[in-house]
Amino acid sequence: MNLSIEQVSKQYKDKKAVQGVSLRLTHGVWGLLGANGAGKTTLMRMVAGLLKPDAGRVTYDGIPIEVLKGRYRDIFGYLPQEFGFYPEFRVQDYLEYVAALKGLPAKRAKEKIDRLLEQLTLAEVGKKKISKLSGGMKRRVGIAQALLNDPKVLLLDEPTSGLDPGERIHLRNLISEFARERIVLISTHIVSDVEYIATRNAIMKDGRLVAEGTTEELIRLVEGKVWSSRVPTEELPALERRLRIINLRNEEEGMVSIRYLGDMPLDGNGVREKERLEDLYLWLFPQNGREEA
Amino acid sequence: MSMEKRMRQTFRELDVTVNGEALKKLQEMAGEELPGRQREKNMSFGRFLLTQIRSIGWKIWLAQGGILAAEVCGLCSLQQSFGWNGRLIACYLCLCALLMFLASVPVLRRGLRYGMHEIEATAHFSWRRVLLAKLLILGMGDGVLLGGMGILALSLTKLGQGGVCLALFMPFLGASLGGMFLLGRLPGEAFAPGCVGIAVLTALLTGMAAISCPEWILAELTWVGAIVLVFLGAALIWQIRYLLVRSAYGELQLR
Repeated sequence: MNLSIEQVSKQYKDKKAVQGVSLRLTHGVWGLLGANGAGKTTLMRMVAGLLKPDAGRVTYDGIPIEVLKGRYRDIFGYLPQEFGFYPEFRVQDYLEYVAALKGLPAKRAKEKIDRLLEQLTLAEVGKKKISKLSGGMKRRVGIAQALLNDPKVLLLDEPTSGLDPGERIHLRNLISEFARERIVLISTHIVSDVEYIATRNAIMKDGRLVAEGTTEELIRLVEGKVWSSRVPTEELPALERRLRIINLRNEEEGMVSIRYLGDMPLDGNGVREKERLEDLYLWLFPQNGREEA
Repeated sequence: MSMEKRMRQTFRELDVTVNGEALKKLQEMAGEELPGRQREKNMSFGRFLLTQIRSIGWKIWLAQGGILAAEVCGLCSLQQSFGWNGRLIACYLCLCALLMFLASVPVLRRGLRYGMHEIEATAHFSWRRVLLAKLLILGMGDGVLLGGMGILALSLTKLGQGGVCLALFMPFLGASLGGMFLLGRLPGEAFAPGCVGIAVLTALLTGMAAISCPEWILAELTWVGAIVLVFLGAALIWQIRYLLVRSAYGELQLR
């Protein structure tokens, strides 16, 4: 089972949204990271078959998805970034409607819906209107609809958007459980969503793939570039202009502790820190073009 | 690899000996079983159509019923208040036809408005069959409404068949043709304003026709009128076919 994205490109008027992206996905969780506007959603839509690439192709087990048509749609589940529902729908109604869209016969749909409501702890709210649910519950309903047809490929576009930390962790664990024997592609700009659960990650910038690998392989790209120092608070504004500061923490006696990116430490007191995926993200997506130390 | 070869290979791997006749029988049984399994596997389009009727929402169905009731009452009170005034009644019927046309727009835009269009487009039935289902439902509903209004107009007023066609069916078919043209070519958000523009244009053209050729209002349906109706109907079907088979409708709905 493999999903191949081969040199796909997509242009909108004067903007190249995706340029020559290639990825070969096998079972497990795949993270697609990038800032807003990097081209992640456009790429996800091409993989979902919503958009036709201007160049390149997407294949499943070697067959282009436009040839597979309905057979491809039958084996994948999709949670779009902007996911909505008709206002009169209760959770049960919504899942029944999507089950009908997926062509599931009524009996099979009912069994599946009951099982998913239990698995996703939505059983208590099955008869409630979706509009009355919290953000986290709505997202779980979104995941439930994507899982209705037991998909072999699951595409989740910003699945944790708008969720609080507890809900994000819960959702991440759910996704991780589901990913055994399946391909799960998660597009996100929140690094922690995929840092621990992704088998491999791909990072997009300005429509291109700039890095790809396991979390450990990607972190090695910023090896030796993450430091921490204690500096006087009054020096902070000047340092913010010079350095890529990842975190800062106010301390006593007018000092502030900063964690930053750079080829060299700021001063003799700089301590090398253990690199994280978030550090690579900031290395690749600097804020306001700050220079390194 | 053919089915027979695959079966032979599988039995070899399982260390099972199967003679040619048994293998043939097994293949026949598998062939008989498969269509039934396929039917069980997927819902039919007919049943899917019924779910689409439900998903359109009770408010829209209520509004459609309200529009019909208002149009019928309007026609009756127009007759009572103004007696026979051919041009007025023709204009009124034209407005009814265009109102029926515009009442379809919320149904067609519903998926985009409530953020359901991506999920609808990527499911088994895809955007093509979801759209086809909506168009079929609207077509049947509008057919009943138009037919009802036409019969009422013929029985209550002095309008001839030609007048009913000019004032009711032609504006509806013309506006629908324009609407389908726009649906396959405009981004989702531009569709509704585009349809309003089409309705206004159609109203103006119909009004001009009624003013310049008032004798049509009382006339029976001529062969010219019939050809125009058939042409509009055929063009509408052709445009729907283009929309479903070749247009970029699916991509146009994406923001």
